[in-house]
Amino acid sequence: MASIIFAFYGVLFLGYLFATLFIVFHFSRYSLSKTGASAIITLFLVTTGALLLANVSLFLAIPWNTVFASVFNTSL
Amino acid sequence: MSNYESCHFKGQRDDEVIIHIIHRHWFNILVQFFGVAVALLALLLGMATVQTLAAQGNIIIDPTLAYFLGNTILIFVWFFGFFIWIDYWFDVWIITNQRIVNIEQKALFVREISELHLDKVQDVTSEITGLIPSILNYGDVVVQTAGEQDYFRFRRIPDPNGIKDAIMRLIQARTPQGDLAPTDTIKAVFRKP
Repeated sequence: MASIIFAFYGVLFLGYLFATLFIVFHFSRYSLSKTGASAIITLFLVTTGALLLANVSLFLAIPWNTVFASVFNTSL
Repeated sequence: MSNYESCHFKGQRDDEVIIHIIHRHWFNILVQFFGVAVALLALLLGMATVQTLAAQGNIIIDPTLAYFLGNTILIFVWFFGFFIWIDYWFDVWIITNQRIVNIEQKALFVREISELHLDKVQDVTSEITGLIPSILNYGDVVVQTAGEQDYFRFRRIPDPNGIKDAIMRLIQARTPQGDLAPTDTIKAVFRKP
C-alpha cells in the first residue's frame, strides 16, 4: 500500500516539475523583455522551490499507517 | 508611454523598432484571478477549521495530512495563477515602425503569430461596449486591411480610442511614396496626444 502511495506521489511530483519547466520555458523564450523575464522566473522558482520542499517534507512526515488504520480500520 | 529599447520579439527585423506594446486591459486578468482568490480563501478557511477542531480535541483528519493537502492545493493554485498570467501576458500586440504583430497565446501549447504591414491598413475603428468597459475605458480596435486577412482585432485593450488615433497618425506619417518616416518622427507622431 505504501508503495502505491509513493508511486502516486511520484507521478504528482513529476507533474509539478513538468508545470514548472513549462512556465519557465514560456517566460524565458517568449518574454519581450529579458530583464522582466529574469525577475519573474526568479520569483517563480524561489516560491515554487519552497512550496515543493514543504510538500515533500509534509508527505514524508505523514504517519500513513495511522491514517490508513483510521480510515480503513486496518494497517498498511 | 514606456521606452521599448530593451524589448525584442522573435522575428523582429534589424531595422525594425518597437513603437508600442499593448496587452489586454488589467480588468480581464482581475476577473480570472478572482477564482484564484476564492480558492485561496476557501483553503485558508479549511485550514483554520481543521486547526480549531484539532485544538478542541475533535480530530477529523491527521493535522500533518491536512497541512499536506493544503500545501498541495496551494501549489495547484500557484501554478494555475501562473497559467492565467501566461495567457494574459503573452497575448500581445506589438506596433513597430513597419507593421503590427499580433502574438496570441490561445492555449497552453497553442501560440499564434500574425502580422500586418502598415501600408496594408485601410481603416481603423474602435469599439467600447458595455458598462464596465465604458467606465474603465477598454475595448477593441479593429484594423481593416487590404491583405488576405481582411481585419485585425485588438481585443479588450486599454484606451482603444487613443490607440486607434495613434495608429491613424502612424499611417499618415508615412511619406506619399509609402516610405517609412525616420523612427524618431514615427515615435513622436505615435505619442502625440
